[in-house]
Amino acid sequence: MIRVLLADDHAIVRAGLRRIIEESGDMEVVAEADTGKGAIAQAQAHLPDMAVIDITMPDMDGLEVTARLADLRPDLPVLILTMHEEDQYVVRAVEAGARGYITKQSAPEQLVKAIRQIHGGKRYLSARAADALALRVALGVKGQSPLDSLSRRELEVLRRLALGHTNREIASAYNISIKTVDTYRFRLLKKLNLRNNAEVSRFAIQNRLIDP
Amino acid sequence: MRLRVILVVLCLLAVSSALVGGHLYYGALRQAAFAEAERQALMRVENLKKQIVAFISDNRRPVQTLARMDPLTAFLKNPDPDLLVQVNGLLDGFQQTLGVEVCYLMDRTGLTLASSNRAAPDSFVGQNFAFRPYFRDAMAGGEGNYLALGVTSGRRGVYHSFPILNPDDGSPVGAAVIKASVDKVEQELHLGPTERVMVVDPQGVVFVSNHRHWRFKTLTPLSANQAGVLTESRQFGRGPWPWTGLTIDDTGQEAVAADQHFRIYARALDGYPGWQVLFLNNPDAVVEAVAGPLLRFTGPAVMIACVLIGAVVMLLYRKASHEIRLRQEAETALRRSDERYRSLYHNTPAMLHSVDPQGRLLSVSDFWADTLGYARHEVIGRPITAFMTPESRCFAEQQVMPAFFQTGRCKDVAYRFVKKGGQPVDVALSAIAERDREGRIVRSLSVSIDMTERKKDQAALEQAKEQLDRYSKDLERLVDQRTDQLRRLSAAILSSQEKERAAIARELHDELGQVLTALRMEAVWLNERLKTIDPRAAARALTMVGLIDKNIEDVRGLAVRLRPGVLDDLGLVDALEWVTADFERRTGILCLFDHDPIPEVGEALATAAYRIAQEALTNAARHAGAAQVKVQLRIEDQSLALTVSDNGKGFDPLQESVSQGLGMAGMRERAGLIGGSLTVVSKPGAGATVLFRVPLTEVAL
Repeated sequence: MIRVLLADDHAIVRAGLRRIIEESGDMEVVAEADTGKGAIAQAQAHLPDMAVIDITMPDMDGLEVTARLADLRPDLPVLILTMHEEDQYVVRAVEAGARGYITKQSAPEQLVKAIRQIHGGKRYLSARAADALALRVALGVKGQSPLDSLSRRELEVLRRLALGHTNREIASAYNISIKTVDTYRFRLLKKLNLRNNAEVSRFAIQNRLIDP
Repeated sequence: MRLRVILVVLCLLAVSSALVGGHLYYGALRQAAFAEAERQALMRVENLKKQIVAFISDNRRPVQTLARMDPLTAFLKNPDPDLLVQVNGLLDGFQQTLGVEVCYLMDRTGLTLASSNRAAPDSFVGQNFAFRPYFRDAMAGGEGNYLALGVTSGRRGVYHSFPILNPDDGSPVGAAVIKASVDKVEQELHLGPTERVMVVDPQGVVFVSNHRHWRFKTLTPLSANQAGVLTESRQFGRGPWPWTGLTIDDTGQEAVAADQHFRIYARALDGYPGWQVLFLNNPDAVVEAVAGPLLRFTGPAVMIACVLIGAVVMLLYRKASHEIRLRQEAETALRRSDERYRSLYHNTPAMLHSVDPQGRLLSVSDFWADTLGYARHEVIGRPITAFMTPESRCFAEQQVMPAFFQTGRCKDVAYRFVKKGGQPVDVALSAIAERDREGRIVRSLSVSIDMTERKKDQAALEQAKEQLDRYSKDLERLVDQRTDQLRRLSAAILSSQEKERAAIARELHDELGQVLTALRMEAVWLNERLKTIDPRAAARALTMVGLIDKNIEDVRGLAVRLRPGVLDDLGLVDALEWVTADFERRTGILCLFDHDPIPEVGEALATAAYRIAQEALTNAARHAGAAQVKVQLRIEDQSLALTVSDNGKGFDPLQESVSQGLGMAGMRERAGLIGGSLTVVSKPGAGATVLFRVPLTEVAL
């Protein structure tokens, strides 16, 4: 049984989540908290295998909690479960030490899978979250990278191309037209003085946009 | 007028000098003429004397020859008729050859024995001329020369006698005589009408003269004794010998007869002791002769000269008059101008004065004197500084005057003069220097404007100004207060608006969003449960899930538009990163975000920066038609600088309406409320850059 700590300030949501977790059969919610501090206390009191923590909480936000827990319980993996979709939260969460990041909206479909995967020692990030993280890592060294001349979306497209995604796949991933993807591709090839997708891959690896 | 008199006098002088010159010339000429006439007269008289002497001595030798003729001697010794024939023949021969009047022979008694005129009625033969001196001279053994009137003939003649000597003892036995007429002398002398010549005997009886009436008259009246002697001698007939009427002066050189005036030149007649040749010349006639032609030529010449001089003088006079008139006009004009300037100088309502290089007053205008209350004579010659307050005097002597006498000008020097009564007068003095040819300053012309009233006015004005200033400051303060109030109000409004928005956004996002999320979970659960039991119900549940998802998206979008959680949760940099990425995603416009490491900033500042960036991005997308937007967040000089620049069509920031449309006022308001500034740089066709800059003070942080 995977013992789960559930921290969310919203009771109804928390109830829904608890049911989702418990209905999986191999997990149980050993503790619940509706505040950040409560979450830390519960984590120390119940020693769960896993912490599922919301970001928006009254006294201390989930990112802070994650960071504290990383100190207090380095062995306790944290999954951020939040209303926020924005990449910035993902990056912050990972930086704070979270092992996974999913939105509440996708909870019914992904929560159990995420907990399981993280409990299994892996990370769990949505494709877009992974993109955001990769970009943040790549852009970590500011002012020295050829990536500085690229916009967010260009970086995203660049990374996808480097990973070997087709234009169609990229278009559907970002909900844009294939033609737009093509425009982005053409533009970034020109900006980076690259000739083909192979060179794009090599460039992305060199600049730590993707792992080799 | 005086000049005219001078001119007239000059004219007269010119004419008179011409006359005097003419006169002197004439006198000199006359003198020369006299001298010449004198010289000529002297030559003439000499000449006449020679001629006369030659004439009356002509027969002295022939008579000697005649006397030595043998027949004569023989005849005297022997009065033979044959010899008489011979004698007569000789006498005739001599008479004819010599062309004389008569030749005759006398014996020792004076009886005429033979004569060439023996046949004439007045024959001398038989007559005794022993009384004649020439006979007596011959008898004495010498020759005889004698001028006398013929006793028989009654004709004048010159008698020459020579003794005929006895060949034996050499004693005179008779005399030969030749008588020549003197009429010829008068005829052959060729005298001019003004010349008179006389041959006068020692008694002054005129014997020969070209002036007929004077013959046998005397130069001076004869005394009775003299007349007796003369009658006795029978030399000039029986007389009487009246006075010629000539009055001879003491010198014997001038004579007057009737109305005629003569100059006398006398010469002794050689061979005739006591006899004289007198040459009388009429000086008036000489003058007439000399002056006549002179007057004929000089007269008109002098006249012409006078006329010419007169004409020239007239011309010059006219010229001079014209010149004088012009000069008078110029003088009048000058005088008027002078008067005008004098009037201007004295009546100009400014204090005018002049000083010499020592600073002593040379002149002051009436206004100057009136203003300071002095009479002119009290100030002229005194130093200008004597009318100043000690401070002004010091200032003038040490600074202004040395500088002025170097540069030659000064302007608006503030002096304080002192009136006679002691009241001060504030003036502004400006001066220029008058220089001589060498450029040395000889005097100044200074204008002092009475500033006393002006100063009062100025003081009043300043007071009014101060008051106005005070009012203005009060007003300003009031406005500032009000503005501050308004700003605070505005800030409060904005702040509360943001708070409201944040609250609503949170409400939407966290409450409604979470409820919807929970609902979705339920719907998904339903779908899972009903899949096997009631596929239709399951499908309905799935539809619900879709609807809920849509709702969640809407709510999220609504919340984010109201106020993105990122801004509150993660800060400005993340918010900008998100908003630029979102902008790019929504608009397709390339958007680069670039930032320095930024310290955490206050909520107000973060909000302002975020809203400004949002507005600028909206403009770039909505109005600029930009293809690319660059957002930069930097730390520069302790300031946070947010730049949003697009490559769109740009606009004219000075055009109010455009700026208004772009929400510039709102951006500025936000910037201003947190102590920042907003600069918009744009040009039509050259994109636009919005720069928001705010100092990173404690407050802002």
